[in-house]
Amino acid sequence: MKFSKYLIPIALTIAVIVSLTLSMVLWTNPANYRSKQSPEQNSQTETMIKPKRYVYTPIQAVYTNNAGKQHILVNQLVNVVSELKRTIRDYQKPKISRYSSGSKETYFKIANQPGSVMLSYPTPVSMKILNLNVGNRFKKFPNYTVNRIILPTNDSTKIYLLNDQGFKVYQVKVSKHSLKALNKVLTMDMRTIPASFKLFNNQPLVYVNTTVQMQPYKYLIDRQSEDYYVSRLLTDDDSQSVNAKRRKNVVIYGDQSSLQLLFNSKTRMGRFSDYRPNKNKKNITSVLTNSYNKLSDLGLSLDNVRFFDYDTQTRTVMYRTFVQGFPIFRTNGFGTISTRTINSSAQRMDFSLDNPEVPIPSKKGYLTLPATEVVLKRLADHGYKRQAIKKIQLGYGWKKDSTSPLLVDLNPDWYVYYKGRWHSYTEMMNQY
Amino acid sequence: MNFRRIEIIFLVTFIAIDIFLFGMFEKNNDLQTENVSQGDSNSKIVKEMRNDQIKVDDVSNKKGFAYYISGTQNDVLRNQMGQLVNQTPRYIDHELESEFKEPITVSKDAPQKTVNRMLSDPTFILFGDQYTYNKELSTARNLVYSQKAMGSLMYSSEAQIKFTLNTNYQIVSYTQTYLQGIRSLREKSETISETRALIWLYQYNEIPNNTKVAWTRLGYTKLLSIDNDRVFIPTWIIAIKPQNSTQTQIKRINAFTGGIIKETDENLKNSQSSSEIN
Repeated sequence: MKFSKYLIPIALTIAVIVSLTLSMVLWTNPANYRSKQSPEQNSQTETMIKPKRYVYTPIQAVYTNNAGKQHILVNQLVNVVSELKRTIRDYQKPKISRYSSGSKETYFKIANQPGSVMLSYPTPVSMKILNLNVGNRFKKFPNYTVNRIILPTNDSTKIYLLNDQGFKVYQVKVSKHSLKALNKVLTMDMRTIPASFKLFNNQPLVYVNTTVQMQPYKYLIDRQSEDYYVSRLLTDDDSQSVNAKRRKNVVIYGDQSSLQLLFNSKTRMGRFSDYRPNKNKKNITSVLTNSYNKLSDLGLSLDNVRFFDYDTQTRTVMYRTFVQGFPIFRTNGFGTISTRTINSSAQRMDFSLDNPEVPIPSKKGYLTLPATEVVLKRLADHGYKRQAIKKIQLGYGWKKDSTSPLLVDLNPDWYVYYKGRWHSYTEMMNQY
Repeated sequence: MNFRRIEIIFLVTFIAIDIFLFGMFEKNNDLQTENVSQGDSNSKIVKEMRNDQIKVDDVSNKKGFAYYISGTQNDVLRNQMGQLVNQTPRYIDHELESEFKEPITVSKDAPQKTVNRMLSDPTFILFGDQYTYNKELSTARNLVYSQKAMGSLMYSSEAQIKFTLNTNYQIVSYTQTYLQGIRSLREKSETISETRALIWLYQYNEIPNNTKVAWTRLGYTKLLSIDNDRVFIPTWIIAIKPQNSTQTQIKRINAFTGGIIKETDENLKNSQSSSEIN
């Protein structure tokens, strides 16, 4: 009798608590708001277009061994950076703290610590973008901008994030994790180039210490028809009539007012101008996210296309196609795609109409390129101002193959960012 | 007593609310998983296929990794055929044709087992250790061995051995083609899953109704030839069989891009030979 007296009040209390908890969960669950408005994506585009984390990825890995010797890790049978990224998706309880700022000494002490791997972005990205590469584990971090990740190979509780601008160092403490996977990647089939990470013109730079052997490549080009781009980019709003104008090498497609698509058959470039109002956001996360969305509109597969540069002044985002881990430069220094927000009513996207698709066996042997210091010295001897060189890196030059218009030759060379544009070292040396 | 009744009414109401909320919660969770994984939509299409009377066995959603590879067609077989024993080899157009002077008796149930044992003998078959038995392409009268490449097989008439058996389970002759210097042209890249490949093929309207997907394999097939070099890409090879028929049809899906590989002239030659086998 006594028991049944309490039964109902207890049951009632439990029922109330359960209903309160469930209400709380439902209210705080973002799925509530998202589910209905996200339309079911076309399954075709889903698999065709590479995900955001594929495009916004670090592009270079440098290993500092326990003796302090450094090597750039170059793809052979595996993509080194992808393999390394696979080992950093499962950090538990990460906590970030500022470690130092403005001290070059501390910056290089952390970056060059023996027993570590450095993954580098070509230019800083925000934490929200970096977060895509670490399995969303850094989602609670403040939105700092960083461009290097240091993964110690023998300290399982810490990693470091660096930003070259201002020599900022952030320390991320994580629960003890296994370093087996990371160390296993380092034993995979890859090529290494002796290097050292130090200052150049007051900016950190990975120097190549010795001459490098690089393999030239030949690629079959992937060519989409103009119609493909017209149908993807121009006909989304109630298919107003699209008109075309032709002038010499240039064809311009446009709808009545806001969209324009231009093809230059001589330079094999396309330009898409969008004069519809846009949000005109200035922070880096929004710019990069918006830029990626533009890329998916374009509908190229983005195979081996990686984020390469973000110019905060012009809000231009540049993407390049990579070969064995090195970026491709066209004659004018252009990459593969660039997007630019000009103002709140103008956005622009430039893209190459020819993209490397299938590698073809090349009969040419390896080419030998000089060490970074030698390149810099020779350039200086040729009259180029050392101070005006902002960046220098290994890459591949784009050259039309003489035998077929569908083939392209990719020749290794040094690329120098000089007076606001990328130039090949060979071209610079031939100029005077 | 009155208070007790109120309590009961409240209890019933709250339990009802709980049930309702729990239902909402579940539905939300479902929506969320649907958004995150596209596996759901995949299985939906597979279901749709089954509704179209297309018989599909369980297919895998697992993505893999593969390479662009190349190999060279040369005359290495001709140069080395002198070392073959008990046979009269002839070399025509990059193909070695050979007849055994004394037919080789093989096991009735599993002829490949006998051959597998002899494969490493260079006086029996040149480069035999570079080939593997290919069950799909073999028949009772023909044993097909495909050349290995980067952990997979090449499905190509330019890289295979075909043994011909007589009715007494004896190998009487064989033909061999060989590509030298198989290597990767680029670091490995992700391939689409088996399910995806089937779905693409289905969405290209390449799988008619009332058919059965006999088998699917991820192998390398030829994309193009440049002089003596051959470029191979990872391909989902899908065999389709009309129900109550034995004739299979081979379809190919590029495992990198998901594009269908149409029969070009050169590929046509391949596919004819493989449908002959079947």
